[in-house]
Formats: sequence, C-alpha cells, structure tokens
Amino acid sequence: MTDNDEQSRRLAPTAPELVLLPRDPGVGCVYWQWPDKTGVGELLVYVSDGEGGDREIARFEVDWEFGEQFFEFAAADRVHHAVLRWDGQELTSSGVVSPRRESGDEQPSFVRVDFGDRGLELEPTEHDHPVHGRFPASFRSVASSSSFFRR
Amino acid sequence: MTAPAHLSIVLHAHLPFVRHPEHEYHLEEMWFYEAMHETYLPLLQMLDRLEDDGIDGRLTLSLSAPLLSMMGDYLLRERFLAYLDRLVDFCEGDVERTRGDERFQEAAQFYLERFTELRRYFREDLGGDVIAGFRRHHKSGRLELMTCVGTHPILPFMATDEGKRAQVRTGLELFKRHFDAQPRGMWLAECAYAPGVDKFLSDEGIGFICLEDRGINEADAAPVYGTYGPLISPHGLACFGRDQYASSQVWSASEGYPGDFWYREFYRDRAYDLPLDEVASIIHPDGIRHDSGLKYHRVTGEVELDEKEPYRPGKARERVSAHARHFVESRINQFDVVSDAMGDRPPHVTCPYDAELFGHWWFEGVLFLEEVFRRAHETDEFLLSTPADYLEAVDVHQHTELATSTWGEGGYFSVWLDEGNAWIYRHLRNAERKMVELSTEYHGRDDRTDRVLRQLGRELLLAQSSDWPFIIKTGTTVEYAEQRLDAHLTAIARLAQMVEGGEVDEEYLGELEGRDNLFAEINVEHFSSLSL
Repeated sequence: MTDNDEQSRRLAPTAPELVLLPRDPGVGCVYWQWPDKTGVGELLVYVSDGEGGDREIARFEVDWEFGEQFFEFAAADRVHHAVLRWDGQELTSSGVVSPRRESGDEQPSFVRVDFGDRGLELEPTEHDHPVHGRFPASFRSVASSSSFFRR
Repeated sequence: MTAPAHLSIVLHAHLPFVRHPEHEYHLEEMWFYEAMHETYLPLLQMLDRLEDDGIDGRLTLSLSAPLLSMMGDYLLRERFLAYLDRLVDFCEGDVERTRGDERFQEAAQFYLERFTELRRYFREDLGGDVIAGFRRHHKSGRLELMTCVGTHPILPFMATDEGKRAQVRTGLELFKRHFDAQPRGMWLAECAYAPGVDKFLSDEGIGFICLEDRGINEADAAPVYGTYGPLISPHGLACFGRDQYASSQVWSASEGYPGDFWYREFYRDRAYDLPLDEVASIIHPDGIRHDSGLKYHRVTGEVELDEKEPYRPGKARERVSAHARHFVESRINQFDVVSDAMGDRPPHVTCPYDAELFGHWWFEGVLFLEEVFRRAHETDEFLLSTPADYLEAVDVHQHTELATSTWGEGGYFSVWLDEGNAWIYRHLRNAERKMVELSTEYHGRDDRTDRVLRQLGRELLLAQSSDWPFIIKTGTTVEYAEQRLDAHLTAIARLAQMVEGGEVDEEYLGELEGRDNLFAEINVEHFSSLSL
C-alpha cells in the first residue's frame, strides 16, 4: 500500500512526521511520512540510558517518503525515540515507553472505593493484606482475541 | 464466616460492521447471520430457560456498538430471516435426503428442529428485535450489560485525546439509546491497555474493565492478591485480570473442552459436502460455497477432515454435562486453595471470553454455559457474580498503574502491529487528526457542513476498528479488510475535501450515508478540540 495511486486517494500528512509505536518488550515500530523527499535518508533509534543520556540501538537507510520500520532492542530498555535525517534536515519523534515483562517495584497502596452512578470514588486507606509478593495465581498464558473470522 | 467467592463470566460480543445494501447477497454479511443463529439467539434462549427455572446467577455481556447497530438494522433483520427460511427449507429436504442413512439422520433431524425453533423464536417471541431480548434480561438483573469502546479500536495506537474520547462517547451514547441506562463497565477492545487509557473511560463514569492477567501481574506495584481481585488504576478504573486457569479450560483447542471428540467439528460444513446443485439454496447465488452452519461431523480425533465421524447431538450433550461439572468443581477447588491465602477477603475469578466462542466456534458452548449456571445454583461455595457486584461487596482495593498489555497472542500488540498491517496506522492517525481539525474549525458552521462532518466521523470510526489489522495479520479475508480500509480512508479524504472546499457531492454523500449508517445521531462535537 505504498504506491502513488493509493497514497493520493488518502489524506496527506499536514507536516512531516516520525512516530514510534510500542509493540512488545524488545520490539518497536517507527513510521515516517515526509512528502517529496527523494534520495536516501538515515533513520536512527535510541534508548534512554536512564541517566539522561541516549544509546543508539538501530540505524537504517530510508529511501521512500512514507514507510515503516521494525527494530529490536533489549527488553530491559524501555524508553526510546527516533531521529530521521534527510537532505540535511532532521525529524525527531516523541519518546515512547515500551511494555515490560515484570511488575514494577512500587510499594502497595490501597483505596476505599465507592461505586456510584458516575463510576468510582476513591479514598486512600490502610489495608493489612495477608499475601506478600506475587500471588500464586498464574497458569500458562492462553491467547485469545476477537476471532470470529479465524477460519 | 468468610463471604463466598465470586466467579464472573464476562462475554464480549462483537463483530465488525458489515452491511452491504448495494449487494443482494454478501459473503461477509454471513458473519452476522451465523453469529445470530449460533450464538446470540441461543444465548437469549438460555437466559429465558434459566429465568423460567428460577436459576440465579448473573452473566456479564458486552455488546459492541457495531454489533448493536447490525442487530437493530431492518435490512439485516430481513436478510437474516430470509436466510433462516432458506435453512429451514434446506433442512426439510435434508431430512428426506438422509432418511434411512444412520450416519446423518440424527443430525439432519436435529438441525431441522433447531432452525425451525430459532426462526419461531426470532420472529414471534422477539418480534425480530434481539436487542429487546437482551434489554429485558438486563432490566431483570440477570444480565450485567456493558458496551465496548466505540467501533473496537486499539486505543493506545490512536493519535489524539479528542479521537479517543469520541470513540468512547459514541459507543456509550448508542448503548444508552438502546438500553436507557449507563453501563457500569466497558470492554476495552482487545483488552488493549496502556497508561492513560483509563482516563477516557473513568471520565465517562465507567467503573470497571477487564484486562489480560499481564496487565495486573506486571503493574507498577506487584498485585498482592494477584488476579483474585481488581487493581484500581490512577484515574479510578477497577481493572479485573483474566484468570488463566479457567480460561485455558475453555479456550485451549488442544486441552480445553471444545476439543472433545464428541463435539461438533467446526471446519466441516454440509455446504461443502454435497453437490453444488443440492446446496444451491444456502450458498451464494453465483455458486460460491460458504459455511452454512450445518455441520454433520464431530471432532473425532486427530484425523483428516474427510475421516471425521458423524455428529451425535445426544452424545455431545452428555459431554457438556461432564465438562460443566468439571468446570464448576475446578472453580470450587481453586477457591478452596486461594481462600486460605486471602484471609477474610473473598476471591474473585474473572473469566472473559469472546461471546462467539460459545455456539459459533464451540457449538455446544452455550449449553455448557447453561449447565455451569445450573450447577453453580446448587452450590454455596461461590456466587456467579459480576465485577460490579464484587466492587459493591468488597470496597478496599490496591491502587496502582496497570501494565501495557492486550489479550492477543503474546500479551502485547504483535497481532495488531506487524510487518503486514503496520501500514494502516499512519493513514488512520492522519485521518483522525484531520477529523479533529475539521470538527474544531467547521462544526456548527451550517447544516450541510455538519452533515458531511457526521459522515466523516462515521467513516473514521469504522476505519479504526481493530478487526481490519486482525484479519490482515491472520490472513483470513485479507482482501475484504483491505477493501474496507481503502473505502473508508478514501471516503474520509473526499469528505474532508467537501468540508474544506464547501462543495458537497450529494450523490456520493448519500451513498455513504445509506451504506455506513450506524451512529445515526453521532455527535461531531466529541471530536472537537473546543470541547476537551
């Protein structure tokens, strides 16, 4: 779906754009749209090192004004952004946080909930719980999703 | 004494909006007709029987806006009834055709009785109005009805707050028009959660959603009760995590109940087994075969399709009973184990499933559900409850940010974002931004512009459905999904030109309004930045 006929029947971007979409821990996707660019551009993906700096994790050549690129990274790296350089110009994406595979280290906190006509009202409260850490609930994951037409 | 445990069965009923008045017979419309006679009508009949027999227990059911729109559409109702007529006629002939044939006579007679009764039920008891049937059980309290976010979009992939809000509100407004009530919960399409999504639901007064267990187990704070209680999100949404143990008993094709050798085989259909001239009345007029819902074989085992044994409805029913007993006993055992660890707090198990699993994919699934309700009625070990009931029974819950997750394969987004379908997102996001820009600038200018904006909104909502990337990923009816996306995106571009240029192509606009006619009262203001 990247030929000119298809593109011309759809809305053009109002401005050049570089967008990251999170997918899995360790896999991301970046798309760009930079109308009228020709030749070859350079797409770079960075992750945050957690100390205010960035580390490059992927670099690609780009030769089409619209496109997508998937990239891999260490699952522990979560915050990343991309830069597209072309004809001496530069596009920078917003930062995105990728999913993670384990819970965070925040301490448990509790609220008292009142379920009314307009949803939940919350009030912070203390709560003594007998269970600490992950509850032994899990079974192996079974995929499910809307699948009516999965023949 | 410890309060009883809660088991919530949550069914999510959704189909993409498929309505093609421009064709007398459309293959993809069959998705709706099949689901009607295999899942939605049997579910209503089940609820009627449970009511008649005084069986308590509550079921949670999400009805998506596209599905409600199709259920309420007169053209589709007429076409469905005509389809039922053809099926009954065919079944009458098939009873004659199989007379003396011990292999298939039982099944032929079974289907004749089934479709005759379904037709009578739809026409006479419901007056063709399936929604009224669900409304009645909702008002009686047997059903906790909720709806889905709009047209089933992947909310975390959307570009704007205005667009997300419009999806949520438009779906809610349709639900309220049909049921005259605010739903207490909402189904998040594909259970696709990312931080921030909760705000758009809690802002509209929604109290709870269901998530994949990952959303709970990988939250910012480890869940002290695992998935046996909800987590409350930062914006005040109760999030119930799917119980993997109960899910796998039903979902897994290899280990779950649906794979039992006596159950009906999904993939072998009468419309493919007989010569073309004998099935002409139940397939496409051009001679294109498609599933009819008449399946005369059972799973049998790990054998080829042509080696499947004949289906024995009576024997399958015996297996339903055994499986329902096993499911209920498994829950009692599960609650026994868990309750010891939870102190005085009653555990809650969430069992969310696609509604169409029951009846369509697993033909005996609705009977299974009914048996579960009947057996649960006989035990005081747990309540067949709803997430809303649990929130009213237990008022202190853990508060933290939930984890990014979906209920698709892998638990994240790889189903809806891969090399095959990633191309759609820039078009969808461009279209969404354009709708926000135009509704902000032009809404209220004059009636004609507002009319174009309303259709632009409908086309955008339809394009944003997660069904299209799902179909492209799974490789099923890819051509149709791509055609639909192309048609909606093209319509959006042309309608945007009309708004900006001030010249309306009445013929084209009328054509779109006639075909993509859901959300008759869509509110364009929801897309506007001025009303954020």
